[in-house]
Amino acid sequence: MTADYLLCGWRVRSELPLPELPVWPGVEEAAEDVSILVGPVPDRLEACVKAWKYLDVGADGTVLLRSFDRTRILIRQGREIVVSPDQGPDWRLLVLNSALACLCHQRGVLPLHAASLRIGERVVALAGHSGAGKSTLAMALVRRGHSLLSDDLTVVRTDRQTGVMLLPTFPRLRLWRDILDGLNIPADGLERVRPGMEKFDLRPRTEFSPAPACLDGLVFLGGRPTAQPTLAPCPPMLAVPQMQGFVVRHKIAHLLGLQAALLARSAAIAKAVPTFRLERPLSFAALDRTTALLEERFAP
Amino acid sequence: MSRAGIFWIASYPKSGNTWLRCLIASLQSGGGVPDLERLCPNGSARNWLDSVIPPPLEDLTPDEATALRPEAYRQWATEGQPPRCLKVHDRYDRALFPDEATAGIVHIVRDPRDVALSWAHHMNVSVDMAIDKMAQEDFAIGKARTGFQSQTRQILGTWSNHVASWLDGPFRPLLVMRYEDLLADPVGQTTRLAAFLDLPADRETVERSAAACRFEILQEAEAANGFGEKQEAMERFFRQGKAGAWRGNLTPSQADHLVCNHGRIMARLGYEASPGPSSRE
Repeated sequence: MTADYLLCGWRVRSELPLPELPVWPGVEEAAEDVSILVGPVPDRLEACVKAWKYLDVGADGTVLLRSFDRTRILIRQGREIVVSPDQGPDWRLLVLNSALACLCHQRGVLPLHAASLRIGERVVALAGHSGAGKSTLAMALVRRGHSLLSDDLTVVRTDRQTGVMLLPTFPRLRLWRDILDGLNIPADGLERVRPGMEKFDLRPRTEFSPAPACLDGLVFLGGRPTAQPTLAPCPPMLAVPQMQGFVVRHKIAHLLGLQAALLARSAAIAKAVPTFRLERPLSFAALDRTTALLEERFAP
Repeated sequence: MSRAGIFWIASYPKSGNTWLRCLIASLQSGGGVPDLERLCPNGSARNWLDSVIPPPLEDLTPDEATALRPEAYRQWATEGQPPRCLKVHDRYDRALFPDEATAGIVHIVRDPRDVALSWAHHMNVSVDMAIDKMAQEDFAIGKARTGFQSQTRQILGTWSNHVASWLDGPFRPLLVMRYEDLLADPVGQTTRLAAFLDLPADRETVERSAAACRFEILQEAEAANGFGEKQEAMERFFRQGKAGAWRGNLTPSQADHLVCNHGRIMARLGYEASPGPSSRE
C-alpha cells in the first residue's frame, strides 16, 4: 500500500511502510520529491566506478547497496530508492540511513553524523562518530524538554538564498542497553534495532516540527573525558576538516565526484553557523552539567 | 620485499605495540616526536573499517563486523603510501589476515610477567584476574554486547598460543622484536625496524626517532595532549615502561603460575624462569 510521508521537507511516496516518518501533511497536488519502490534490483551494477562486497557505485551516479540479509537497494538520481522484492528485515534500516545518505549526496545536501535538536529556540546539531555519545546527550536534552529533529543522520542544506538550513528527518533515538540502564529507561516493550542486538529504538513523545529550519549551531563531540564540560568555539579553519570527517558515506560521495562540493558545503556551513567543540565528563552523573552548559549557550 | 600490502604490527596487548607505532610515526617524519593521534590505525577499529569499506549498515552484529575485516585489508593493501602499517592484537589467523593483503609482520613480545602487571592496570582488574585471562583459551576483547564497541571482536586466546600463532605462522617476512631489547638498545632495535619496513634507517634519523620515543617523552606528550587509547579508568596510558617490574610487584606464586602456564614459549623467547623475589631473599 502506497503512503506519502514527510522527510527532510520532501514528499516521499513509499510502497513500503515507514512508521518512523510523519505523514505528508501538504496538498494532494504537490509533486512527489522521492519515490520508494519495490522492484527488481540487479545483483551488480554494470558500469561501476567502484565495487565493494556490500555496495557498487555506478558511473552514472547510481548506488547499489547489498546488505547481509540479501536485501538490495538501488538509489538513483536523488529521486528514487528501489528495494528488492526479496528484502530481509534490514531494509528499513538501510533505507533510513545508508540509502538516505546516498540520496542526500545525489540531491546535493549534506548528510552528517549528528543528532539534532531544537534547544530552546535554537536549532543545534551534535556531531560525533559512532559511540561518541550523540544519542545519549540528545536523550538527556529531550528529557529536559527540548525537541528532537533527527538522530544519527542530520541533513543540512546550504543555499545562497535561505542560508544554512537543517532538514529534519524523524524523531527517533537508538540507544544501547547500557545507556538505557544508565539513564534509568526500561527496555521493556522497546523494539530492537536489529533482532538479537542490544540496541533499541526509542520514539520520544516530544513535539516534532518537520519544517526545514535555520541551523544555529554545530557542536563537535570530543572523545576524551574531561573533569568539567567545556564548549569552546571552533574556528572555521578547524571546523571545515572536522565536518568533512563527519560526512556520512563520504567515501561514496568522493566516488560520485563530490569532493569539491563537500568541501564547499562544509566551508559554507563553517562560515555561516557558529561551531563549537564540546569536551565533557562521560559519566551519567555529569550529564546534567553538560546539558546545562548547552542550554546556557543556546537557550539563555 | 614487496611494497604492496600491509605490515601487521602484531602483539598481545601491553607488549610495546604502541611504542612501535610511535617509532614508525617518528621514522616517517624524519625523527620527530610522534603525534599520538596520528599513529598507524588499529585494524579492528570500527571507524577505520568504515572509512575503508563502507558497510551497508551502521548497526552491525559482531560477526558482520568481523566479516568486514579481511575485505577492508584487501582494499587498503593497495591504497595510500607504503609502508601501510596496522596495529593488531588478534592471534594470527590466515583467513583474517589474508596473504594477498600482507607485506610482512612485525611481532613484538614482552615477558608475560610484565604483561600481566600492565594488562591488570589497563583492564582495571586484579593481577590474578589478568593471569587467568592470559591462560584462557577463548579469551577475546571487544566482545561486550550491551553497549557500543569501538573495536570489533579480537580473539587472543592464551598468551602462549597468541605468541606461537605469529611466530609459527606461515607468513614471511616476519620480524620478531622483544620489548626488553628495545629498552636496552633502542637505536639498534629501531634500525632493525626501520630496515624491515623500508623506512629511513640512517643512523642520524634512527637516533632522533629513538630519542623522540623515549618513555619520558611519550609520557610528556600524553600529559600535554592526552591519548585517545587510554581507558577511562586508567590514570595514564604510558605508565612505567620498564622491564622486570614484575620482580617487585608479582607474588612468587603469581610469577610461578605464569611460568607454569607459559614456560615453554617464554624459554623460546629467552625469558628465563628466574627466581622471584622470595627466592632471592
